[in-house]
Amino acid sequence: MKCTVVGKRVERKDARAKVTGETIYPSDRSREGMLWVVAVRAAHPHARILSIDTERAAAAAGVVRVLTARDVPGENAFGIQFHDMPVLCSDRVRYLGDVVALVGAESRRAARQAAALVAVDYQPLALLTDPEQALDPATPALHPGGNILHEVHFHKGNISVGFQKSAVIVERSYQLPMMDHAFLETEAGLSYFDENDVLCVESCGQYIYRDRKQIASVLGLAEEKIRVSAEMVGGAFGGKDDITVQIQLALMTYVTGRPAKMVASREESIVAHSKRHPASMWFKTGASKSGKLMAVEARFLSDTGAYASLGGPVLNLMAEHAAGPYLVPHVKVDGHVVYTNNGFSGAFRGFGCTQACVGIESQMDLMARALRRDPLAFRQANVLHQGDAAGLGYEMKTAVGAEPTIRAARAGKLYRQRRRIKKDRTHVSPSLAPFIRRGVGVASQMQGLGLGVGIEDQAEVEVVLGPGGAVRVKVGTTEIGQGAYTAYAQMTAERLGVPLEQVEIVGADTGTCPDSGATTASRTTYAVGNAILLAIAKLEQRRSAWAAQGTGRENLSARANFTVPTQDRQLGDGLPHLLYSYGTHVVLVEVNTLTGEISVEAVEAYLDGGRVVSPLGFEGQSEGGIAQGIGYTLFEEVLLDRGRFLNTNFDTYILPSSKDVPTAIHTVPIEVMEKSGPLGAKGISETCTVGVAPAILNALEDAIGIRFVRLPVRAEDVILAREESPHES
Amino acid sequence: MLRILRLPALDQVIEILSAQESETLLMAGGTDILPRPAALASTRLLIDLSQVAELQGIALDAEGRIRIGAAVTHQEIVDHPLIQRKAQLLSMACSSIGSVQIRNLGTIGGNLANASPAADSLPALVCLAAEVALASPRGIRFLPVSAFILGPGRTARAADELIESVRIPVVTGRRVAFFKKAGQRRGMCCAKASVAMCAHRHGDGRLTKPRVAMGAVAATVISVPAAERVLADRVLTMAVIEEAAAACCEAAQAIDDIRSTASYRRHVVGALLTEGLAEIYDHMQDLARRQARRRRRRS
Repeated sequence: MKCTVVGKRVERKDARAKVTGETIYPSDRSREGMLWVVAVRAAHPHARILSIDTERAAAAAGVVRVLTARDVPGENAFGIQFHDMPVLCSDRVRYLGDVVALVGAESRRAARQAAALVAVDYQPLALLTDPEQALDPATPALHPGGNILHEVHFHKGNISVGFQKSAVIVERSYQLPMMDHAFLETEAGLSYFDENDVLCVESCGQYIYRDRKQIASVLGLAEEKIRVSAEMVGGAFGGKDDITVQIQLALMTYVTGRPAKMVASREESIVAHSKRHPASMWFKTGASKSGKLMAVEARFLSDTGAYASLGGPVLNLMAEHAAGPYLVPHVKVDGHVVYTNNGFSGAFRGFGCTQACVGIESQMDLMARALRRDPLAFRQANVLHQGDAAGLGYEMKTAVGAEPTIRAARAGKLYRQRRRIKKDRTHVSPSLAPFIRRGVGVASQMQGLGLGVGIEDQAEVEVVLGPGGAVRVKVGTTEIGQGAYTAYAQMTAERLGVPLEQVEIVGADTGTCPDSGATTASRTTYAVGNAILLAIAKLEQRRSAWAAQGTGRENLSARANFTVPTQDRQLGDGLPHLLYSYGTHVVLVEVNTLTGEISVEAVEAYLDGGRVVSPLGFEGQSEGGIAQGIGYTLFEEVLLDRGRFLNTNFDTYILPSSKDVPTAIHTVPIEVMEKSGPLGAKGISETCTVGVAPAILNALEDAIGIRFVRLPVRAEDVILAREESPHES
Repeated sequence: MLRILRLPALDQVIEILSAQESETLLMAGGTDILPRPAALASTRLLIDLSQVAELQGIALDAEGRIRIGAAVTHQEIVDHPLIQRKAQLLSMACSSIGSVQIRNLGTIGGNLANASPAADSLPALVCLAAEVALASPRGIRFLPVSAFILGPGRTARAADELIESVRIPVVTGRRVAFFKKAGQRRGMCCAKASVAMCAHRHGDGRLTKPRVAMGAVAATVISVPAAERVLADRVLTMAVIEEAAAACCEAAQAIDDIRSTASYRRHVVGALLTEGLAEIYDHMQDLARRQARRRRRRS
């Protein structure tokens, strides 16, 4: 099918307003007579609360109200999967982000000063910070159900037969760090009662309807009495999927009747919100002499910290993606996700695939090396095709673009010319040339799209045709920086045959927009796009019906609901998926063996997310995903010492700077059309980052002969590893 | 209550300093002070020096030294032709401080007063034999940078003194210099370790009067006389470089902290010196080859 608006390099609808500073973000919102709200957080990562004395804080200048658990009218708990996080802790705190009181004051300064006056008497409890210890049934439990949140045990074929048939067996353990989302805008929002006595919360969530439901149960209010919006959010990456400030704001407004505003400091944000699950992984994989993958065995231990959040589904996706995009006859996967006092972890771009991919793609390289095979040819020879059985045994029923991405990567410049490129030292002073090593590494990946089996995954939208050809599309998903609104507008303009400028996207307000589901899981282009096309089909039906009657009408609207299709058989919460996006990354790294400095010099990304709706958005996702992947591999790690955060701002939590991300990024769309997708589209926002880490690790081994199994890899690790490996060439 | 005074003239600052007790904080760019609300909490009076006329400007003083006013920003130093010609090492070091925004605000006086062991300008100033001019009611006194810096955050500045300027002696002849820094990333980073070096270059491949200083590997910036002795009056070769690098590693008294490890810091100062000197070696080889070509053409 030929498209005229979809696939065009159009400017993002929100770009100019963002660049000029006109965009209103949650932290920009204010209202006459508003209170500033500051949370009083736990002073210990694990303690019993003996008493909370708010008297001095409440009497402080400018303070209007200090709230504690007693002030919660409804259920004092919330959470995406289980309501296990207290809104306000009354008897126990389990991590430093737990909130014991909320101060509402006339100014931010007064609120902060009063927060320090809330006197909480704690009895510190034994800390649980070692995930291995959490597996021990003798360890005191952090939650009534014990310290194991969830476990998985899957097998396909017979793993011991698989290893018997293997000529090459590789076994390694991997350690992955806790990673912060580092969104630009910290958690922020504004709440107030409108003239109809509806409690409005203008905030930063990734799913406004779920936020509303959770606020309602905490306040004991009907959902219709609450309105939640989150139209433009300053970045999220999964870190705002859990409720952050929404309930706290709503509670303050509910109790005081006054508008309320919160903006977290960066230090507070890093302590409070979810993280990427730190994990230890063990992989044992085998391949036959002829280079056929025979067996993949993996064990995961994931640390969800103090609360469940999405720890279970994240572990499920680790298991689902453990065997990568490959056909493997014998698979065994076991995993546990446990509670500890190490902050808490939840959704993060990649959602378990990121971790699993580091393991399987490192193993793929190690096996190719042992078999003396070309790493991409080895992958290509084992790749999944449509109709094959996936790692966990279910059938890959939809379009599988893994092989075309590998084929394109093999034909790409970086891979084809890698021998010459690796030898290039023209940029180095001649005497230093012997100290410079270059390596090229690859990784392939797949990433489940949508929420998976067993989790409601629908998108409802409304398309309104106005006078003069104006089109308004009402969607409930949030613009968190990913550019989806532009993609929605392009699909709408394409299908209706109107100019792009005539399409307006009205977003993310429960007061005006239908429930389009969560802004997560690479799902919005696919799910919302399909819903838009369904609504337009309805409109056109009606229009032709009216035309047949000879009664033309200008104002016309239609709602449509699309349900993301799933596999028939459920293997776990959100497990497995029917649809996946695919990708292969090729990375050139340079290592200065004198200083240990690692630099990523070039990246080629071959990505299959079906049809590309918005090429600039696609490239932007890819480049941002690569930067985030470089951060995960070489720079970022939230450091904890006995449950306390050591690096809570960006002077010590090190993100890659623009100088640490190569300008030589080449993103190539591999458009394998997905029949069920809107105009053939799927999604790209996670697969574009997942393979970056293992591709860098593989390039490092190519460069200096050292296999790194712990992220992040820093100059210190390079020097240490070289000192420890005297056989290095 | 915190009072903030922005003063236009040096005598006004000196007058207030001599009258006040402690709890007075001096600030120019504020890049070290503003991110630390705790430091401000115990302060009663903050004097903003950024507009003091006498603290501005880069020029030669009466004795022919380069005078850099204490409130001169890092970026002004990077861009100034006199610094680029006569004290290029300082320009190199200042260009690696923070980000453009930090360099546009932060000042050389602030970098000295803050006395961070990791400050980028300090190893360069030590190599250049710079002196700190301290102004007080008693007049101006001069201290070599190495005597001015006493420890992390500690300097020889008395409570009634302020840094008026930095003076750098002008040296003639052909010079080579480098500033190398290992950071946690390439842009906007604090040094895990840094090495500055300058020397006179001779046509026969010798370096004389070498000066080597290192940052972030001791409580203060330190010079490395052992490495200087290795390099002095020797023809630069890779073997000499290796020897000098070993002297740097030996001299480092590094610690573990959130940015790096003691063992890496000890290692990397040698690596940084090797990098810098190898580039100089290649440069000198290049010059020698060109000279030989010219000579051949003439004959």
